[in-house]
Amino acid sequence: MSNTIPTKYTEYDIHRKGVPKLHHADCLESFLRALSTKEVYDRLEKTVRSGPIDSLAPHAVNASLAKLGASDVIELLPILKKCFPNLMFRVSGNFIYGPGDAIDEHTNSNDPSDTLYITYATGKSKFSYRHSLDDEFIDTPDVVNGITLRAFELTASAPFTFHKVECEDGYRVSIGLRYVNTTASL
Amino acid sequence: MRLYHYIHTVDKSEDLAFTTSAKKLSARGRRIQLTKKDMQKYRLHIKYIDCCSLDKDLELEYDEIKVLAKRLDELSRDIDFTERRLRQTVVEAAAVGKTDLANDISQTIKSLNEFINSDFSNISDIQEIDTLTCPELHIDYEQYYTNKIYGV
Repeated sequence: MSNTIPTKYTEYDIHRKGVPKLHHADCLESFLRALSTKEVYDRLEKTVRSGPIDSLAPHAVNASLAKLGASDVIELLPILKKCFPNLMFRVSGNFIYGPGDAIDEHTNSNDPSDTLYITYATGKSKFSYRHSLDDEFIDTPDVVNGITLRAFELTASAPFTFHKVECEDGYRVSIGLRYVNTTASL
Repeated sequence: MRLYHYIHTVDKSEDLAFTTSAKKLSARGRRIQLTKKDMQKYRLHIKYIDCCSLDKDLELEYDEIKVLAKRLDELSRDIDFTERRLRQTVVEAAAVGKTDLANDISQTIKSLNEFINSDFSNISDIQEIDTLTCPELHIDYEQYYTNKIYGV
């Protein structure tokens, strides 16, 4: 895993294939910043699930978060295309986490693909992952008031990328992309 | 109940089929029996079985051009379907005088067309080919635009 802090955003290359290059970071940051607010979070319908933890579950058993609406995603699409011109993708997740929200460990093994998570956070929050249940989690904190990119691989069979999110305070917008890179090198 | 999984040639051709049976099949033609681990390894080969072949060592291979062609054909059909629905919506938007919305819908149709005309030549891995998609196909534009047209 590499963690670099350039001027515009932070990136985590979890699958070691390289993080897709973000163009026009200001444009994406501006859009996501506008969504990372209490006002937006409060107008959305919340998802709350709970049950006994199952690390191998494709979707997290325990979750507390809000989902962005279709209109937000439709407005975001042209920006994502402009920001990642070398990717063919679909939006696989569009969420806002509020203070205390979280999603517990899961695999997304039912939808394997290279994956890019784009996050804008206004407070203390983190994404954690591990490739074996015998390992400790590796925490990757979100940059505060900026964009964090995480590229990782979701697989249909072991080794999985077990992952979870915790938002301690502030608001955290998270956009997931299942992607194919159309260029030979990133 | 135990199930047996096979990939085997069909009749006397080199065409392959995937068969699951409650009984062990007698050997006919060239075939491989798949373990549980193989089933995971060859998940996509099975999906695109008509694009695969068995080499002389009974190793399963896929023809990347055939897989890509099949995937693009699927996407092309999905895009055609979505475009037909959007064309109806653009007429409705124009009919009620919502020209800005009609332009937005036209732009979405244009994006769908641009996708299918993209350069896919660098994509050869079966997982990547299977992941290929157009982002507009995963959004319920019909409902979104209909709500905008009629204010519901």
